[in-house]
Amino acid sequence: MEYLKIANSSTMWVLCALVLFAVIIQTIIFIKRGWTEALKLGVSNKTLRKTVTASITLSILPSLPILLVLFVMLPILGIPLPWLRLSIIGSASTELLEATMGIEALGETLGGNISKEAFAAAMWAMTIGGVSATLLTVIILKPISKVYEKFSKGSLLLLSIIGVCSMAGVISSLCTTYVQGSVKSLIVCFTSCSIAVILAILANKNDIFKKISDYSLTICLVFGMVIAILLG
Amino acid sequence: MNNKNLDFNNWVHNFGILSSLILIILMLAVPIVACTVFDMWPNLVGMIPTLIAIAMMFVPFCIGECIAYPPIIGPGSVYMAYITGNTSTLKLPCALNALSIAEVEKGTDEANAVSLIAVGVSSLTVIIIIILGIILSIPLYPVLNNPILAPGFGQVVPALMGALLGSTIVGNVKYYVAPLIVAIWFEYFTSVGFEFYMLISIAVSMFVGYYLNKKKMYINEE
Repeated sequence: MEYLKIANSSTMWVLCALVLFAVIIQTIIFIKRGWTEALKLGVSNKTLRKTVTASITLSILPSLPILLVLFVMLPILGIPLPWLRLSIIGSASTELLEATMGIEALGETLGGNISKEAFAAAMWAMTIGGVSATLLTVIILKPISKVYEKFSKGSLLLLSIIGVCSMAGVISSLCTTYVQGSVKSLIVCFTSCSIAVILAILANKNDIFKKISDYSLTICLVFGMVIAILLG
Repeated sequence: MNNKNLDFNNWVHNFGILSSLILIILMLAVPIVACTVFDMWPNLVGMIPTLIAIAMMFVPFCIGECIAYPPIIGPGSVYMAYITGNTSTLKLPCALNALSIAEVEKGTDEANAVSLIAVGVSSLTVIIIIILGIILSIPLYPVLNNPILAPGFGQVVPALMGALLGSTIVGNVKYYVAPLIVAIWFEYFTSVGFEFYMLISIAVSMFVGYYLNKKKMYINEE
């Protein structure tokens, strides 16, 4: 298959690696500046190291389903493109959808022996999907943030209310949409929610549980997955 | 506490915008260079309706998230999350967890700085896991597809969302009641999309939050 030779060619590897390298640089600069700023504002080095460990631990399990989509994409689109797309922007479901839409726009089908032009169409579709969202963020995020800044006028109480209420709205909506239509998802969500509530209450009363609470999300995630496995 | 650190806020926006634009150019360079080198330009004019449809798919989500996330994880984290993806399923939980560990108020400069670290570390972790996944794809594939473990991986997101709800609702129940009712009503009784009812939930929650704290705010102002 000619397109797979192209998909796995050294040119594709270099192009995708370059983008990924730039993303890593951006991320490191953000982390570095965030670290300096946090120290300046009185957050201790020890606390920041704890947040790093907790973020790594919490990111591992939710990343594993991304690997499943990666394994589906590798034989169809080669290694470099799925590697890039799932490392950045990369919601697993949308990347597959975009690739399918791109290939079908040329009248071919994902999974078959597609032409090199269809592979290019998949590449364009996936790129446009990612670029459009990023571009829109670049355009609208600063004005939106300025509105929040103006509205709160530096009042800590108002800032806190806006933060907590936004969080309540986002999490309520996310929970509702992700459990919709599946009793199993509802049970899993309810179980991990209950354990999180118990851990949070215990953390307020007991020092041992306070230490564990740094990893409470990971613990609840594992419990929820075990319940899902038991339910089959 | 200084909540108006303009220097940091300006840097976040300037660097976020500049680096995102550079990355957009680099992302576009991949298909442009590949199509030129391998002489495989597809009929882009014929693809325009598909490309517009794909771009439009993200518009409501992007607007919704750009309104909803800055007060929680800060604008810098949103710039980063939009490049590295999985905002609600990975970056938001990591940032909220980090804020809880650091015991800082959401929306402050401390919170924005801590979120930057959490979201960045989460992004780097995913990049490393995907590289490991490619290297170890042959032994890993049967493990992740194991019929016993598969239901667990299929329910990662509901488990994570439940954990997020449980860990943030303690002490904040009064702010959650109204948005939960609104979200459930829209999800089960209307055809309104998630990205729209999320904004309505936030608005309702803010209204309730303002009403519940009205007295305190007057006292603060006085």
